[in-house]
Amino acid sequence: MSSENFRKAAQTYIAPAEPPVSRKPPITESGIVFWLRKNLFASVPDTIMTLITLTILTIVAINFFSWAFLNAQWEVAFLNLRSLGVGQLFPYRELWRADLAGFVVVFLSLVSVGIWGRITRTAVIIMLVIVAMMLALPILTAPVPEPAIYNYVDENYTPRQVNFIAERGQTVRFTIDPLTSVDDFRVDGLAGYVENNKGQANTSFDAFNVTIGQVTRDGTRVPEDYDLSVAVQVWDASSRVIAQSDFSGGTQAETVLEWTAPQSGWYTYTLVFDEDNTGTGVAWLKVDNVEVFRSTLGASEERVAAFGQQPTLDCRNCATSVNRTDMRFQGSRTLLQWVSLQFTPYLIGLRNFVFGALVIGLIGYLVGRWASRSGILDEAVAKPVARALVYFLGFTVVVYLGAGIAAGIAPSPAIEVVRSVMLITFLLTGVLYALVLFARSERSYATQGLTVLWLLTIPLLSILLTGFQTSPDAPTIMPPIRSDQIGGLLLTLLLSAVAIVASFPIGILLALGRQSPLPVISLFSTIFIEVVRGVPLITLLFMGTFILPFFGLGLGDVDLVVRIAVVLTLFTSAYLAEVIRGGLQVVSKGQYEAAYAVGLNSFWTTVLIVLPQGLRAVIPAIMGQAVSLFKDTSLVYIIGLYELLGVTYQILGDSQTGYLAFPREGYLYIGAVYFVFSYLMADVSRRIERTGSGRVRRQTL
Amino acid sequence: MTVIDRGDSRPPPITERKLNISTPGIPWYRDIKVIRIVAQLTFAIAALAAGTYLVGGLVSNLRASNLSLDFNIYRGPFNVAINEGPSLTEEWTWLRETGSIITATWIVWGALIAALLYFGWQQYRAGRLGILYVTAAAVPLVAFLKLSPESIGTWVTGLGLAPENAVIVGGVAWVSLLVLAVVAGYYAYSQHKLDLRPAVNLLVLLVVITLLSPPDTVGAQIAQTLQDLFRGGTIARAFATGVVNTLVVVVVSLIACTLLGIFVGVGLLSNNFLVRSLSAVYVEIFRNTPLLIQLLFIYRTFTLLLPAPRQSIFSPEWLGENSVYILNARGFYFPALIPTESVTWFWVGLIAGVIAFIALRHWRTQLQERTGQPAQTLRYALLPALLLLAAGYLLSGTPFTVDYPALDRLNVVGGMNFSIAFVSLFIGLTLYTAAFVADIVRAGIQAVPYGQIEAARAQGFSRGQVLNLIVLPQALRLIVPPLGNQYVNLSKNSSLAVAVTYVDVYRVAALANNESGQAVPFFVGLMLVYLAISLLLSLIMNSVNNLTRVRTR
Repeated sequence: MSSENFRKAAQTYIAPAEPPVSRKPPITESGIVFWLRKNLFASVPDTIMTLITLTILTIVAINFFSWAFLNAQWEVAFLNLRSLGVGQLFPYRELWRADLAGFVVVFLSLVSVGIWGRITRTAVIIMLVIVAMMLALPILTAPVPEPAIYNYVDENYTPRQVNFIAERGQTVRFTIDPLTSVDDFRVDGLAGYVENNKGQANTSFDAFNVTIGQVTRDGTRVPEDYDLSVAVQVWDASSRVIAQSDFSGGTQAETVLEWTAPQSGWYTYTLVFDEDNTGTGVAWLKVDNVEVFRSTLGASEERVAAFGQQPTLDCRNCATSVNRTDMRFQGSRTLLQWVSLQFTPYLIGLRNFVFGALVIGLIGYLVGRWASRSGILDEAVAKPVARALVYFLGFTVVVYLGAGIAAGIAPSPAIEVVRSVMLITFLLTGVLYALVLFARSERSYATQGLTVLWLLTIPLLSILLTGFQTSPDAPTIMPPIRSDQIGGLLLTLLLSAVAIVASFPIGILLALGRQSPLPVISLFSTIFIEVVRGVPLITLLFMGTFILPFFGLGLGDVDLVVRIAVVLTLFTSAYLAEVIRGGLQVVSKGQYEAAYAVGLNSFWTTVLIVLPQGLRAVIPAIMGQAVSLFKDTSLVYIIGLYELLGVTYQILGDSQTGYLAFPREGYLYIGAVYFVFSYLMADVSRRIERTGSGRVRRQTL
Repeated sequence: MTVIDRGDSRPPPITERKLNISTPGIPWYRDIKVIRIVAQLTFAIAALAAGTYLVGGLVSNLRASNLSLDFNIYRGPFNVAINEGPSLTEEWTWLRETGSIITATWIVWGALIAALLYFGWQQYRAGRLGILYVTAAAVPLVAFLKLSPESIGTWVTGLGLAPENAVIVGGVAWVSLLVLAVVAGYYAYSQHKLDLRPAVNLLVLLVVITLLSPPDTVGAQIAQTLQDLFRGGTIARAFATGVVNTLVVVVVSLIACTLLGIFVGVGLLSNNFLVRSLSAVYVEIFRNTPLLIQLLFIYRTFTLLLPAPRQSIFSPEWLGENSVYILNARGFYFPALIPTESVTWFWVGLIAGVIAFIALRHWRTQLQERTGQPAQTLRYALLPALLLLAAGYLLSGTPFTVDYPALDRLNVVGGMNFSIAFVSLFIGLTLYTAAFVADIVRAGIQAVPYGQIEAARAQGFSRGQVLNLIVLPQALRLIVPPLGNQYVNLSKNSSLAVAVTYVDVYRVAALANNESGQAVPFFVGLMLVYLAISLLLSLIMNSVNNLTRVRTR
């Protein structure tokens, strides 16, 4: 700009009288368009990447969700909740104890939340959504009809007899649908139970192209020649015929029988051939409005409990639908059918536990809130009462141990009774003590009370899960459960909890030992840590299972679960030692020097000064190790302990149930379970990190 | 004299390390030093006693149940077929040939001595005499181990002493050798004249050993033992196959997971919302689910969905008729390179090229540091190396022939294959470890202060230059240690191959256990193999760490 123009502009500028009208920023600079431009379409390569990613994402999402909702057989997971939860061998009548153990843990966790944190809005929303789904979906999907069951019929085929349960007044419709053209044999997207001509469940069902019969194999059958004459019979529970259709002969599909059940109970349907007729042909027998059985062990026990044992059938190759999952929805289906047949039973299966947990959790949260705020008990009353309770607790422990020793020397039923009474008293007194602590006014007392309660869960859960008897023959509501009967998610959580909790002190000791100035201890700690960290976990588990018995000292007679828990503990403690060592290195030298100047010796320095700071600094890393251990418990199935992954493997491999073809659904489901737990743990650790309780003032380098 | 300071990381002298807290007037049983020594002695004795008792119990129990700790069982027969990795029955003649090469030539000796002399000269120039002390300690030690009072006595008899006296003199000399070694070693350790680099010590020991033993017999003995142990059909051979399989899957997964992890890690920091979210979702999913589930899922999906050999999936036509890749339920087949007889020249050219590249690059970068002349390694190092490689290739004619896989009636013949177990193990390990690597990379890059990037951009560096010259060198410092940790985890997670029935060293040990019923020697061997792999990876990552760490004066 020339100086002349500049002078001219400077001379002629007149400021306006009013301030300029304020305008909103242009649409490309704010709001959603701006966000899109910045994040997705910032430059040409960016735009290309966005488009490519969107395309790939859409394709993958469409394929995955259409498979997941329309084709996948989720019964592997959804109908085996009991096995996945507590293992296949867990006694059916003791399930309430596992539920109770879960409730106790949920209660205490929410007491902790009540004392220290708050329930976020997101959590409440998620809970409400889940409750709404659990209440609404069963009602909404009740009218969705059960899919028809297709049975295969041809002239060589021995008539099958299939047991089913009908409620009183339920109408069942039987249709015979001859297959008279080659196209009839190609059944795309057939849904419902399909039996092949050997009377076995067809587990290699190809949902897109089912070809049944001998047509496609050697092309010998001519489908147009259909002159089978078959009839349907319905028997009652004593195998007496109570309904029979006419013999069908036509080549069109016809409903041969519509039968209404006179009362609830077991019935059997079967096919009979007309003896005079020697025709050939292939047909479907379609059965409508019969419940497709959920064949888990628990379901079968419930059926037996309600309707009695199923009738025994006098034939070869009969379907015993209670024990096998042949009555399974196969093939493609609509979304509504998926919700009604798979998702709703899943929700119903979870419903009891979830509702119970919610109620108990709410109570726990309120207790926690009350505990950290209330001051019911006057201090003058609370202190001596608390002290008395502690002494009484000590007394019960001493008597318990003494009785244990006496029982070792001279067993007698009276001593056993004394021990059990002492145990129960110990638990009750502990709870009372915790309540007294809760009733005091400061939050630190609430923390102590909570610690007492958590410590009490150790004996409580061991009673719940292993049984409690005053003497070996006394009647009890909690008969013993052997450790090999515990499996599933319960075993996973048990092993993880024991390993994490027990490895913590050992890890601290190892870390302190590794950096100790005493060379012998340092050497041993280093060797232990490096050896345990250098070998894979499978090797250690293998050693614990097979080699440990050879060390003598009766180590091999110890329960396998206990041995594995010990191995996991030692494994985790080595890793934790490394993590804690990193934390200890963060504590500056000034702290050591100041502690020495004040007069603390090295033990108290460590306990009072170094450990609190060092451990706080690595809380996220410790949580990370806990998550890692939780995932590593999935390895124990290789040596024969059936926790969550092991139970899934068993279910998938069990030839009785025919889940062999559905590994994807099984592994996806338990992967989701592991993911939810791990993500929650990692989220908690992130939250702790964010509150700054883990922060240590570090020296800048 | 230029001193090349390599920034060693020796600890401060011992006398300064501890806080010396000894107050006069304390009785001996309350003196902290005495307490420490007594405590350590008690601990050591208790630990050793317990250990001896347990191990003794173990050995006697094993013997009682006909199990043994006899490692000679590795020579036993192994009768299970393994269809992956090196063949179990082919004779490894290259063992004897290599042994004879090593023993028949003095080239290796000469190279060792030359390396030692060069190293010692460098250390002397840098003012560090540690290697001399190491040699001073190592030579008497090896002499002590190799000689005996009698052999020294025979030398001395030549001087005219009576045989009995000669043996006495020989004994005294022999013991004094040991004393000399111990004293020199202790002196070197306490006065920090000891060069703690293991490579140096190993080198010295190696040279001294070879100098003191006749090369032919030692080499021949070693070669013969190895040949014996690893002849076809032995369990040791099967173990070697297992180790090779493990190493193959570990190395391949390592490279792939690093690349994928860097890719996803950079994606986590991208400006693009989609890429960022997808990377975050990938990392969260694959970090929070157990590896075993991922492996089983992938393996079962593959075996479920992949077609039978008759309906194999072929690589598309437009890739060219010479690249035939076949995928079916039996495995993944690809063209195999088969070496011909003239392949030796190719290997010679390759090795010569690599050595030339390293040496020339070292020379040029030293030149640049000393005189400031631009290194131009592309011209002076890479080009000669490539020329050597090309020369080797041309001299060898056709070093490799290609064997293409083709579909026979029922099966695929020719080519090399990776079994589906290997493919699923590779994919599973890569995806799982890459999620961790991505998080590490992201944390490392985010730790670089943003001011560095701003300053670089203000100076006019392009985005690529900023990444390569400013961000990555600083980020690598923080990335390498946890990355090394993840590599060790990867090598240990490869033991999960047992779940996908891939024949790695763990599975070979299990098969050998089934065969012979003896669990303990294989189990110990297995642990040693894994310890060795972890140690090797840690050593490599430590040296990489040293390359990238902060150099303090």
